[in-house]
Amino acid sequence: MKGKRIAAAALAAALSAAVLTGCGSAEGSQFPDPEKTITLIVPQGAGGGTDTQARQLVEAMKSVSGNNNIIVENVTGGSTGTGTNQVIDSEADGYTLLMYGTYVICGTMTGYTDGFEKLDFITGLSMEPFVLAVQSDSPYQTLDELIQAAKADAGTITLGNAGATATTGVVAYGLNNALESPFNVVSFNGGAELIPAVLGGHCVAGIFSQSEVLSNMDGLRPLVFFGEGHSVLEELKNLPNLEEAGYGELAVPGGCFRGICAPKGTPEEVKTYLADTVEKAYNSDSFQNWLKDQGLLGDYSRLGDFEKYNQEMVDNLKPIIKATGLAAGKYAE
Amino acid sequence: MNDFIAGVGLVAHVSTFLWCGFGAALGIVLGALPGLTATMGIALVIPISYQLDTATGIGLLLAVYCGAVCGASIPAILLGIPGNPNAIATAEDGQLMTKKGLAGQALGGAVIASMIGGLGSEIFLIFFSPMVARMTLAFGPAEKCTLALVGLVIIAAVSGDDLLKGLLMGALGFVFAFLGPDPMSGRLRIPFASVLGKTPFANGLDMTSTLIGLYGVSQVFFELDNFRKPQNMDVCTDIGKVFPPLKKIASMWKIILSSLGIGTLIGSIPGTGASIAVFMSRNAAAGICEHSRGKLDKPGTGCLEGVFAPEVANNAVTGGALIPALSLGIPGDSATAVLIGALMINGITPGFALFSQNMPLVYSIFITLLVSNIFMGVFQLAGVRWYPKILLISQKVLMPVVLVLSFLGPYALAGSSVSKGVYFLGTALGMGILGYFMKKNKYPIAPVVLGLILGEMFEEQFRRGVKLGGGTFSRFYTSPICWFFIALVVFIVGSVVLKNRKKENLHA
Amino acid sequence: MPAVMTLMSALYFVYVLTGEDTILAADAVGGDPGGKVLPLTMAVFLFLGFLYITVKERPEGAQMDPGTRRLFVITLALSVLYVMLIRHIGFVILTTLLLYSLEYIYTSLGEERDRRQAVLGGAGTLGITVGAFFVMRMITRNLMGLARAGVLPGIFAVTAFEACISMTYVGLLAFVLQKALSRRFTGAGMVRIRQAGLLTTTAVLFLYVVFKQFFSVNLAAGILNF
Repeated sequence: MKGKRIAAAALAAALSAAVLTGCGSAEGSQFPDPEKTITLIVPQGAGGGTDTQARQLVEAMKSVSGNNNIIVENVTGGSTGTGTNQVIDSEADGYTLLMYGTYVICGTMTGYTDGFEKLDFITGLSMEPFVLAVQSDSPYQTLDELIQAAKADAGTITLGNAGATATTGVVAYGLNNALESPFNVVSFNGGAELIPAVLGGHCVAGIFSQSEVLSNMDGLRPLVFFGEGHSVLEELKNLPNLEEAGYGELAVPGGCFRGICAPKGTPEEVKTYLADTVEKAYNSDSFQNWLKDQGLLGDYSRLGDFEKYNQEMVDNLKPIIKATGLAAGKYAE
Repeated sequence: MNDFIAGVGLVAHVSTFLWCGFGAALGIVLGALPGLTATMGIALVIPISYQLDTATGIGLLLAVYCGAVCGASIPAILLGIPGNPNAIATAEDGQLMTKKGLAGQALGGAVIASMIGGLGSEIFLIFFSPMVARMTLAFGPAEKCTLALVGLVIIAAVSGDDLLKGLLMGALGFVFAFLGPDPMSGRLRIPFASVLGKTPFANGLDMTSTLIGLYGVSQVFFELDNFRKPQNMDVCTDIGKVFPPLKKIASMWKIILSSLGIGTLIGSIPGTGASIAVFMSRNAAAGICEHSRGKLDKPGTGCLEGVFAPEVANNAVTGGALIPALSLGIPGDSATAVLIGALMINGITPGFALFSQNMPLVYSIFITLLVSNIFMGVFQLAGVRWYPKILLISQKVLMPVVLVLSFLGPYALAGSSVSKGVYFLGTALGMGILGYFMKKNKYPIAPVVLGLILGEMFEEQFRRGVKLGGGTFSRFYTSPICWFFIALVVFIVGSVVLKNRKKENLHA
Repeated sequence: MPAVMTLMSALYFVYVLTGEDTILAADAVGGDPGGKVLPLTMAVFLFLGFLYITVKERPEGAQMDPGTRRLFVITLALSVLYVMLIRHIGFVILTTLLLYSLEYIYTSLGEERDRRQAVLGGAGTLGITVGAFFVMRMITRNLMGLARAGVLPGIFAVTAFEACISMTYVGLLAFVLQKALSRRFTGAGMVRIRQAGLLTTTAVLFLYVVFKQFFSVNLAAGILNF
């Protein structure tokens, strides 16, 4: 009986010691805590360009930092507003990050989220140019032919995009506004819905991101390149840009910018750690090669520079979004 | 042929088989746990797959996918709760067979059916993928919209005795879906938007939480009625023969073929998924049984036919869904959507380029899918004697655990956000209460769930179809596919109404 | 139920009708039917359908007997409390309490109950679960820390491997508890508590390991935040 009591007391002592040391070691540990998961939230569906890039970056981050506890989570809905809001509402401790993009700027200006006003900027990554394409059997060989046909009978030519407040949506509505509404602009639910609609002839033309066109070169005929200069991809390098197509005066977003953000108020040292890790990941061979294969343009900036760069993008986009009639709140004034 | 040999070379490695086996086992467990879906399972193993060779990694993902679809039938048969939507149609007959003491045959039948479905659809995948891929392009918004309608009407017609109640529940599911934001403009439509708009409810009701609530939580409340009644202690400890007689299977060849065809076809139409296919195939099986002059039993009476039809179909969907996924990069269902993402991380961009330039890899995908299906069958058959042990546990002990599991599922879905998890939990509880009252008043549950799943697609494609037609219904009435689907709806409603008339006349 | 649903669908109809239109201003070309058409159609269909059923069908007098109703209310109340409190108290403690209470209440139905025993059993279960949880976290946490520091091989820093260690721990714990308790609690009432407690402890820890450690699901930490 006595032996049992002693054993019980020893066990209790061991337990409390374990508890105390446990609490002790948890405090004062530096970022990142090996047991806590860093979650990179992608406000778009799995399998899309944004998602793929996020996953590619996370894998690179894992290998450069040796920390395997980083995951990607897709939070869709609300024209990317839901995922963005989830990051804004989460604790500013560096464990929740956002795959930032032009779509967040559009979402902020159209009133779906407080967006960039409530975020801290970590790293700017890349730019993916947009391409306007039609089905390969379509009679339209150039952008001009398409626009003339649309103008001849307004509303009969359908122009698809990946969502009303997605960046391609802003491009489509912006284009339509500037040309005095010759097109019937139809919003689809992401590129995955838009591609078969154009391939199947249900929608005449669509605004795609470059990689979507690249993987469907057989079924699509690209007409115009929205980015600056020309595509870096072999397959698309002869594609005329807006100016060469005769519509240089159209001011529309040329592509989708992407980067990494954290909730506002994240501690400086955490931000610096994250920016350093992302920088190493960005410069890793695997990530650079991937960028090249996908035809993405590297567009690197960090912390303060990124914030400044973002402000430039905001200033450029503001009149465009206002002109489309999608803007809300102070951006509509 | 050289491509094929190169493809074999990519997977001829012990580790490939080990990972496929691990994936299949994990998939079965994930599928059997209510609240964990095939989609989630795939998402969970992506990090592992990335560490492996491309072909092996994809094998792992495919194994989890097949396993989760097949494993969902275990709780459906033994408890009447489908592990995930793939087994909605299996629950009724599976549960009835268990009550008859034929649990073993139901479980074994489900595994064999799943293997037939998986392997059969793979043949389709290999030989018909270019053709079917071209065919699915003919489905525009108008066609997809009418297809969603067909799916809903079928389920309303087959679940419960009352067509009106079924249709009303389907409409209720649609209304639940319409609580989400406007699919075209993204504006919120949830009531009290100024308060709820800042919560996860802004996206409407979460589909899987609702499903868990309606099936899991409501079951717990429903069972409370039986607790005070004298318990039936002679639960079948012996699940009986596991292998259904070969003759029986052979006699069902028509059902197998029709379910295989339906599953593959529906699976290959983007955005549809297993939920439609299982009910369509069950309905088709009912039709075949009626013309069999008594040789086959009708689904709904607790017979092997009612388990076989949906189980062949749901695994046929896996092969079918891969057709557009691999050839066009368009997901057939939410699980393949994640799979495409995984493929891209593994350095493969789906599309024509994959088929024209990287045929060895395509073959290696086919081979790993084959291996995964075999592992899935072997593992589930090997464990089949263990699953009914769940039934030995009294419902009084089991129900609290089911409740806790049903509360955990929504949590797991919410990912990193705890507050979202709490909202999902609340949804599950609320839907559990609703489901309880529905069961009490004899309203079928499945149409609500399907309405919620298809509602978004229905509305979105309807709006888009009209918009594409310049504000008219021209896209609908100029499409022969739409006419076919609408005729199908009329035919189903008409035949059910006529049948009920006949029944009433007989009684009168 | 049909009467309630008739009313609900009427309210939904009014709600949709009075709400703002959700159409996009920039969508002037083409003619989008808008986000109200289908909800209104469904509301009308639901209203008419349920009205028809209300009028045609006589309500059946299938009332719950008082005992079952009490059970229903208890289960519902505990579930609601669980949902409301989980953020603040946390997964481990709250799930332990919910699972133990329901197990005990359900299995002791219609039999004699000793309240004091049941409460003590609950407190004991909670104590053992929380204690075992602390020890488990200590082990994996320290192993991980040592692996990071380079003392242990790198595999100890892999979360899946740590989860395997935890799983072994839970298995051993269940085995030891089963052996240790089976000799002492043999009275009829005690067996019930023993079974409920053992099931609760094992299930909670098992679920924690599977969801949190294997799959990195963010279970609410609540008070046990470390």
